Amino acid sequence: MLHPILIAILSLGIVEGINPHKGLLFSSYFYSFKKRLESYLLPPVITTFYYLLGIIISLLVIIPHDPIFKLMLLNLVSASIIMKVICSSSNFLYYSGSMKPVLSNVIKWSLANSIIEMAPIEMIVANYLVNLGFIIFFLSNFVTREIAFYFCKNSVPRKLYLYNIQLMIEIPILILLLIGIILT
Amino acid sequence: MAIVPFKRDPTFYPSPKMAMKAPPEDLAYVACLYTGTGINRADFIAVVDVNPKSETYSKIVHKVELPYINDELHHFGWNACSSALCPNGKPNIERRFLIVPGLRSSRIYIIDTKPNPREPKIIKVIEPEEVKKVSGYSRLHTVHCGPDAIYISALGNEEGEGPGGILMLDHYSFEPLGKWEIDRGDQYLAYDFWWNLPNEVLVSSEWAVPNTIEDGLKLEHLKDRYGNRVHFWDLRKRKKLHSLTLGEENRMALELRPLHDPTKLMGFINMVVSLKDLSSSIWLWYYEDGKWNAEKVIEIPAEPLEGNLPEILKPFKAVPPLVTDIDISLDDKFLYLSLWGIGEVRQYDISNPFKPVLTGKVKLGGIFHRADHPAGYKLTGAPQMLEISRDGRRVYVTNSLYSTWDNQFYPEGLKGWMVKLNANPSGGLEIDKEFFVDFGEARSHQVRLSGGDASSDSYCYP
Repeated sequence: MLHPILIAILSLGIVEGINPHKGLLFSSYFYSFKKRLESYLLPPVITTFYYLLGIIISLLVIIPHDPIFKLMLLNLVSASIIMKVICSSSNFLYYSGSMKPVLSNVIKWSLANSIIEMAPIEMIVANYLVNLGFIIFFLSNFVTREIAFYFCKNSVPRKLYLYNIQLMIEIPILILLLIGIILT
Repeated sequence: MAIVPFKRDPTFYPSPKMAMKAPPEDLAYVACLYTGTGINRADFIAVVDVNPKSETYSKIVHKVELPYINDELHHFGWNACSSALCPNGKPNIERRFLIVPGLRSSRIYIIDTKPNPREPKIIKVIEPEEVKKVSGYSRLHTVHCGPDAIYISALGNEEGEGPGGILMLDHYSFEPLGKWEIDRGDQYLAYDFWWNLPNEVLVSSEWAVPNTIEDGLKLEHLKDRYGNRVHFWDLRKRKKLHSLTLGEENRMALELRPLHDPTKLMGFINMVVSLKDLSSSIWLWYYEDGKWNAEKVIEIPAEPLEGNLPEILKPFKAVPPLVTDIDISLDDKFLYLSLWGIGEVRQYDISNPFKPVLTGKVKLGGIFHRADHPAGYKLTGAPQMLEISRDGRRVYVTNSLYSTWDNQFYPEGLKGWMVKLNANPSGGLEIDKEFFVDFGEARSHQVRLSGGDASSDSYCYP
């Protein structure tokens, strides 16, 4: 069971890393405006702030593997999947914020949208399923962002824009993780 | 509001360079009006087939008839555009609805171009009373799809005086939200606006208040009642930052065209007429060393003429060029000008925006040229609204300015037409002999191309 769960956590981190609407565009944006250093700094910054609450909870709280907490986690993941479906299908639940290429704006954007989407749940689930799983998720996510940005710079491939990656890939992986929780 | 679950709108492009590779347009939506023609019919949006491979090429394939008369259709725009792909944009929105305001009535029509783009339908009408009640504005002009709402400029208040400004519509319900400005300073006159999204700068221009323009141009008003300034605003704080006067002698600061490359904080504007010598001029506005600047980069003189002049021009014995519209290709390489008085479309190379170089021109109608279409069609009026295709290869031209002004400058009658110009990517313009749309007694104003065009979308990437 461990291997499929590890693969799912890694995949989720990677897929969220290449999703242009989850921060990759910001690096490209800063790069266009000649803020080169910030553009390379943004992948870890976005990953950190997007999952900040999840990281803090994962570091401070050890969720016991007993039926009550399992049920709580199942409910949270289900709620997070519903939120992601709503967020990725409409524009109503979305924080846009300032357009200026300034680091503080990206931090605000990351925090606000991560809370709306209940993104920290992913970290908590990863940590619940695999010991220090949140680190695997965190690293795969920001390394993917950094590599993707290195290759894309100021021309993120059009195909990445064209498809709703969140609805097509991220949510199915989350459903797999949900099954993982049930089976563990 | 429609949901776009698996695929984003394919007409959105993150940068103007990428948008230039978009497939050519199939349809053009054209604002057509009977207001001012003496014909008591409602204005309409014409759907014109612009696909050369189609059997109905160059023909009107449908008319969206409006339910009221005397709206005076003028400018219109899309509910959403490429700005949705800004890094913090709303990617699920789609380009689907045309937002069509009446310049005279202040009524707003929401027209759905889906499911059949060849037969769009009106799905909502926002009555002028509602617009006035919520915003205090009237006489609606430019429409832009903004980052947080749909923005529409208004020439004046409920009484037809100033200040004019900008009102916002909800992106999803299209309900008027209210005035955009929080601190307008001394801004009173309004007309066009556009923005640079990454720098959060909005730019607005000045024509005159509705009570000054609606019954026609009165020469005695030119000195004091027409604007010559451009205003720079903080887009987020909705506060005016600075204003520039574009020549004390110039009047009517109309179309604002920022460069499409958002890393360049500059753009062009046309000054329609000079009180000194009737010339028209193009000004470049730009931000440099922490301050706003503007300088004249093109001046087009009036042409002397003795006979065959409309009453309003007889005292001058000359035809002013009347540059009433300008447009920039998506690669920011060419600036196009319409000379509604003389009867020309000009193309300038603006690779160096401070020193535009004339690279092409064609003659169409006009008080001075009176030039007919090369395919033999008689052209009344002259080139007015310009719209450039995303690839920059085609320029669509229509001929009506504003109903009461049309009647003054072209008293012999102005019948709507649409002409296509083929633009050479390395410079040069020619009239397409195969394309001509005759709108009959109706007059034609703004053109919007399916999938977007050079004045419909804003971009966050260069």
